[in-house]
Amino acid sequence: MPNTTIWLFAGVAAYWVYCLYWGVRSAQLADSSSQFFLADRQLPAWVFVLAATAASFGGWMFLGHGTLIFRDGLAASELSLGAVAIPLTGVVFLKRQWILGRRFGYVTAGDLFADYFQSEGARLLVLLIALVFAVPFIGLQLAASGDLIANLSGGTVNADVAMWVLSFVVFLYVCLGGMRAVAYVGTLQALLLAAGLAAIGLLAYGRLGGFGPLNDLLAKLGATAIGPYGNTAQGYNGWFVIPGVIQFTAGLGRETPVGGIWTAAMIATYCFALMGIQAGPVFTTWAFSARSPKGFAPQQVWASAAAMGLALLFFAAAAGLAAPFLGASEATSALAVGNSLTPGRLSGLMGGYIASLGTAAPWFAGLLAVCALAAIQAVAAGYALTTGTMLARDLYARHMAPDADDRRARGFGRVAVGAVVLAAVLLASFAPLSQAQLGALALGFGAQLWPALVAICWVRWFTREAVLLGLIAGLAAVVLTEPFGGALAQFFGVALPWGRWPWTIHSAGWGIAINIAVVLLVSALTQTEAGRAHRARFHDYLREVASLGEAKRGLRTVAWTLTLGWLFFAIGPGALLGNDLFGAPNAGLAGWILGIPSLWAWQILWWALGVLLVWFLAYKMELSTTPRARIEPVPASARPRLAGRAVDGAAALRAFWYVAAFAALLAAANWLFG
Amino acid sequence: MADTSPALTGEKATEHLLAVVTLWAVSGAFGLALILSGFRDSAIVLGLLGFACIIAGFVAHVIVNNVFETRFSQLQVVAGMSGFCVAVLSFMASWLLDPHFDVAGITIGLGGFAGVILAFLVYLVAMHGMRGAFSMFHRRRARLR
Repeated sequence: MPNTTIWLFAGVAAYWVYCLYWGVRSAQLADSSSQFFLADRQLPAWVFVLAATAASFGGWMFLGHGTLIFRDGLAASELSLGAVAIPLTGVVFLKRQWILGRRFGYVTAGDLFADYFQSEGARLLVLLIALVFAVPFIGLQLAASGDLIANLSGGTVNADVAMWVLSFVVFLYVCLGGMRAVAYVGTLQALLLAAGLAAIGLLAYGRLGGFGPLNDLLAKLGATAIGPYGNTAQGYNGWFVIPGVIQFTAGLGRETPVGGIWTAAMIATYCFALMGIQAGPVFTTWAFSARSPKGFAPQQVWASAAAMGLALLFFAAAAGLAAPFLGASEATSALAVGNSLTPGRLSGLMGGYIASLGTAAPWFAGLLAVCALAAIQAVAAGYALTTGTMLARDLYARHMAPDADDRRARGFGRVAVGAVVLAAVLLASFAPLSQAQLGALALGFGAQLWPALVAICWVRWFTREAVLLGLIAGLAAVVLTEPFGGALAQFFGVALPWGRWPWTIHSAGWGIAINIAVVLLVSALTQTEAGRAHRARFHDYLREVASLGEAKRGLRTVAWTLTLGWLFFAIGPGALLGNDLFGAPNAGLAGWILGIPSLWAWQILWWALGVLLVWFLAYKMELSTTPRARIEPVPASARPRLAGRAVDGAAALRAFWYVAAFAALLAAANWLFG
Repeated sequence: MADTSPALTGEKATEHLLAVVTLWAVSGAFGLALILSGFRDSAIVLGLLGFACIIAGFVAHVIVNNVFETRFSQLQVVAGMSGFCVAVLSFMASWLLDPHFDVAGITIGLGGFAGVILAFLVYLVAMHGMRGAFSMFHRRRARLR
């Protein structure tokens, strides 16, 4: 057995011991459903800071970000600013969701939505979003973990077998310990994620001789037209610039944008999709589980914006930018100083870097593989638990067994976690194409909850009808601007005149634009006195305990101006200034004012300003600080009825046939399109 | 240096254990990997960086203990001392018996272990004062006699 495989197995075994130990230890504490689903609302601040960061970034950032930069260039590196954009969602919503969760005793996002909007439809829509987000997303991540292990073991271990075994371990510790186990293991996963990214970035620098030589080589590349996009009209290498504000193309698959997909419109809407991560049901559960909001601000400012931003901009970006000179691309072979890098099929460039350590430092290959696995599993575990919780609470306890006692509810929660993980690995093993299509919907779907959360936390004017219709319209728009929608339309004999992401706008952008338009229009038409009174119950309380102090009210305009300014210049049309503000890409090292490509310097500048912005909003504007008053839970009699109605046998049977028919439809769709 | 403060119980004990295990899992794993790479490639910087990771783990452990208002437990002291002794013995054995063990390896080992000992002494002095740190060894020797 090769040395790398031995070290890999040793590292993975040690990691499993850690996961299972905390799974078992948490299981000993999880003696009630509240313990299992929400860690009894007692997650300490420091655990929240680390675990929520791992769940926000996880495997897609670890494995995907560097690969994207290598493939699409510095414009794709704009997504590093997602490290600032993602916590902006948390800044806006987390504290207020925590307050409402404490006050009314909610367990899932479904409880919150159903109670606020007085609608079971809202509960089911959120469950649907959670399922569409979780199952393919977990599947994609776990498939990448299997690919990584297969790569590193030199084929000794089959990728599918590795994926199933790794998934089983995730299932085991989540199923045993619930939220507490997910959070406890998440602390290590966050540190491994950051350390692993830093190590791979340093490896990239080291292979090229350091930061200076990397920029020397970038300057040489910038002076050529080598790359996937050739030269722009200005004579710049397309790999170094953002190709315009927007391009009115028909969408990928029909018309290729000139200079690549990463226009300012795409960057902004993709970042918005990333912001959907903290707007999704998973983060509502994280918020409900926290002992106090004390951990929210440090997570948003220091762990997410500052630390992860640093890791993405300086290390993940370095891995992507160095790759063309390390043999990952044939086109740049003339400039290459090494030939050790072969990107993995699913584990991408980062998998290639880890594998390249091979015989030289097999212990490091094993350790970095564990870092990648930890990053992947942080996301998978969080999503599996939350979706399982929602299935248990919003479907089983609410509609199927409202009289179920605590023990049965917890038991069903465990079964539901297993079902979610099983569905994810089955999809990854047997229907990878469907998985990719459904996975593409995940980010877009998550972002559609923004208007609903705005309604719950901030704007009492939005009505139930408006938010629900907006949500449905937004979801439909996401589906129709992704390949899944195209395939679906084709099945019904309709050929859509656009492809994926028309006008270089991400599906999340199309969805949210339509969602907001519907919400505004329908809200104007559906105001009622009773609805206003119901919503006032929430907003009056939020105003009482969480509104900004009198002395700081004047800062609101400043906060709005800074936020909109940051969005415009960092990830919006203003980012185009960064193309050549600090030196033209083809000006050579002497022409680069800061010694690095202009767009990279621009991103670093706006990242630093972004950290300041998040700090200002979270601390100074008190959006993530501890509320002024203690949150008193309402008496049990005044709480919303979360237990639900009994469903008779015939209705249960009907529901079963609906589910079976839906599953059959999915299988048929996969057979037809796959 | 071992625990003289009241033992932690309940959730606080669990959280303290979690913090300690997690920080050592990261600093220990990266430290060992860097030290191995340093010795294998005769790379002094990498090797010393590995020892720096171990020292950082120790410092972080002290900080965590302070936050949780506790000190090192007997078990932790025994584990730490044993690990240190095994590492020193392994280093000396390699120096004496391995013909390929070069100057870079010796530099890494001596420099790294000196750093660890220094960090430990600084901790003792900071926690107990100069006199207290010396008295601690006195008392121990007297007990042993």
